[in-house]
Amino acid sequence: MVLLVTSDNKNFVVDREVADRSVFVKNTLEARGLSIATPPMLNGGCFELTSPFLQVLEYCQHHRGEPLPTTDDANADENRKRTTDIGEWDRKFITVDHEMLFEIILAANYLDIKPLLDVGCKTIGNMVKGKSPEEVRKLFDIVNDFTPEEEAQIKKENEWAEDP
Amino acid sequence: MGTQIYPGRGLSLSQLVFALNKELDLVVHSPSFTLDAISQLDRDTSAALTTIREWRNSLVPINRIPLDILSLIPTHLSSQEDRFIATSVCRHWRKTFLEHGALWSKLFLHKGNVYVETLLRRVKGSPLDVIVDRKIPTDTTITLLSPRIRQIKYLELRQSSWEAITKLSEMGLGQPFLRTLKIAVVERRNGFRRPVTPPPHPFFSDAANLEQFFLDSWSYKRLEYFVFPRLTTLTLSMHCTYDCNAPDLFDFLKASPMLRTVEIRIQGGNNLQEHSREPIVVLPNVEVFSLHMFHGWGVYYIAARISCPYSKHTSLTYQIPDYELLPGIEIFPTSVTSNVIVRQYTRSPVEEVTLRVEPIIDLAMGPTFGPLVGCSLTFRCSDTGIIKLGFQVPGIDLPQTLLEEIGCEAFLQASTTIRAHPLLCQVKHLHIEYKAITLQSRQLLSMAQEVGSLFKSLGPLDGLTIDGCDLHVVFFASHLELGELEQTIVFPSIKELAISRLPTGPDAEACMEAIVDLAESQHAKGIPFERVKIHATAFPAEIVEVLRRWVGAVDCYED
Repeated sequence: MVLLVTSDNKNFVVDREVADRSVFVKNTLEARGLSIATPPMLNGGCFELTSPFLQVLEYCQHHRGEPLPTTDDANADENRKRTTDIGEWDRKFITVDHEMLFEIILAANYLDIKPLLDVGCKTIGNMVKGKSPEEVRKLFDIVNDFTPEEEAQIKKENEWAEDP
Repeated sequence: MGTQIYPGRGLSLSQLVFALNKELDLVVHSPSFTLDAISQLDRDTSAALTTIREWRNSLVPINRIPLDILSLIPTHLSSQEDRFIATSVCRHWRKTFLEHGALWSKLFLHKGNVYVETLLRRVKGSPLDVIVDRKIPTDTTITLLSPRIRQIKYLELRQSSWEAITKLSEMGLGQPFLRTLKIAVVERRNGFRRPVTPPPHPFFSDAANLEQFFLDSWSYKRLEYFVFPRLTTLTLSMHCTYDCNAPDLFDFLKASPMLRTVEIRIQGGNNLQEHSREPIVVLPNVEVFSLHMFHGWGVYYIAARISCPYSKHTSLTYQIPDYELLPGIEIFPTSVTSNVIVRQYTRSPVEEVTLRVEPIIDLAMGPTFGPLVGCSLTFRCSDTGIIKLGFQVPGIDLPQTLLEEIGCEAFLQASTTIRAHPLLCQVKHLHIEYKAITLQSRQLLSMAQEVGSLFKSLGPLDGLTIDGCDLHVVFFASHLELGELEQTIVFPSIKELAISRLPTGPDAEACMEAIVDLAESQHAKGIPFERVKIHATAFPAEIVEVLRRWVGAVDCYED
């Protein structure tokens, strides 16, 4: 068992197999030979960690025992990125509000849980897919900040962008 | 928001705007204020607004994601159009995504020079995937591409003419850094075959390090135009309507000794007659070999001229239309050919054989004919090598009687191939699956006779699996009053018997009783089953109880 302490001082006792889903935690434990890790101080602790961390733990619990992606397999990495399919459990898991989605992505990045980071990025990718710039802006509360000249340039570049 | 006081000004937003407006009013109505000055003011205001909006965008939740993660998002957008749109959302996204050269690696040359220029600017030093669709690129396009030619790792020519291939080859697109070349050739124009002038030297000959080559053409003959000595993957799709001398294929394979994966799909016939005495082509590095013919015979003849002794997965399959399914046709190779194939694609003895007849829906295997009836014979060797021999018949609109004939004939021929094979004496596991169609008594009887002969030719088995309702009828023919068998089916010594999908109708109990009788008989012969596994919808307790007397263990699984 491993005790994980979040930046807002909440304690979580989890199986080593679950904790090892995070490459960060795994490496920390292996390097220090410790059973206790005090990992994530995300973004300087500017947001509550417990909530996304609970989600991340749920993900790790569900995927415990699965093989971890190898870092040296560049092709596999590329294939992993290009596939936009998300498994059914993962899809349900990641169906959260935008704020939580971004926090899960940040946590997955910090804790080095590549499959979860992929699920998060794929989810955003799927949200963007097939939408116009205006629709994407509306979705993420972004405003158009291009000058008219920049817009004209973008329009010119995008004329040939349609897929064959 | 209206009461927020802005640092340094001591004003609320509405007060600030009011003050600015008042000041602006004074300036604009001053006599020295010209049209140019107003235009300048307009531009300044626009720039200020842009800065405010950019600043606002930096605070929205999605833009708090670090750049390295944000730049991952478009990698999940397979469509280039979506990637272009992503760069049009806001300045932050644009800057981030344009920094990421790999996002812009796919370059369609036929889309015009503005597009090509834009993409080449964005891709920076990342590898390029260049796609040419039909049109021959203009000289201007090639001039734009020239400084980046060494970045091209993947080149795809879609619906290409030989003229285009010739020109692109001469332009130097085949260079030492090219790793993948994919060519689909259009051989006809207005219904007529275009004349092809053989090139003085091979196409893309400078691509000395090419690893993957995909060619979709009408003839093996065209393979003469390419030589890639370091090739590891070959995918051929051939529509052989003329010039289809298989030796042209063999010559190409011979010149590519480093091949590891070979996938060949052939539509049409082959001419092998004149060259059947040529030496066999040995591909010592091939691990995956797949040969599929859509409409034509000869898959086994081509396979017999090639040897892949270290292949881990060999698949030799073909498809024939129903009108070619004449009685007595050769579905599986003769014992001589099958011996040759097994010997040339394995190094170790065959330990496991699976004979499977089933309806399949596998659109990847061919044109969308609808459901197919397939039959396959799979040999698994002790070194994990697998050889699959298979054939398929489009099942759509086939009359039931013909389907029955196909199923029965395939089963009989597959079994004959197994038992006639001298190298199969070490088979330890036999799986027989029949999932296709119901059969008539006459057919079941001949299958039962064949199974009897098959068992005679096999040594002791570690496992026998029987899967499929009709098969139980075959194995237990005498119990089900099918008719008179010429010879009784004598089971060899079997350690584990696994039976799946027992019939649910009136034959169910008879089958269970037959299993008990068989177990008792094996026990009496001194070769009892060590274990019997049964998958069924129900298990009469008394029958299972009796069965336990004659076998080491009984496992019942409810379907």
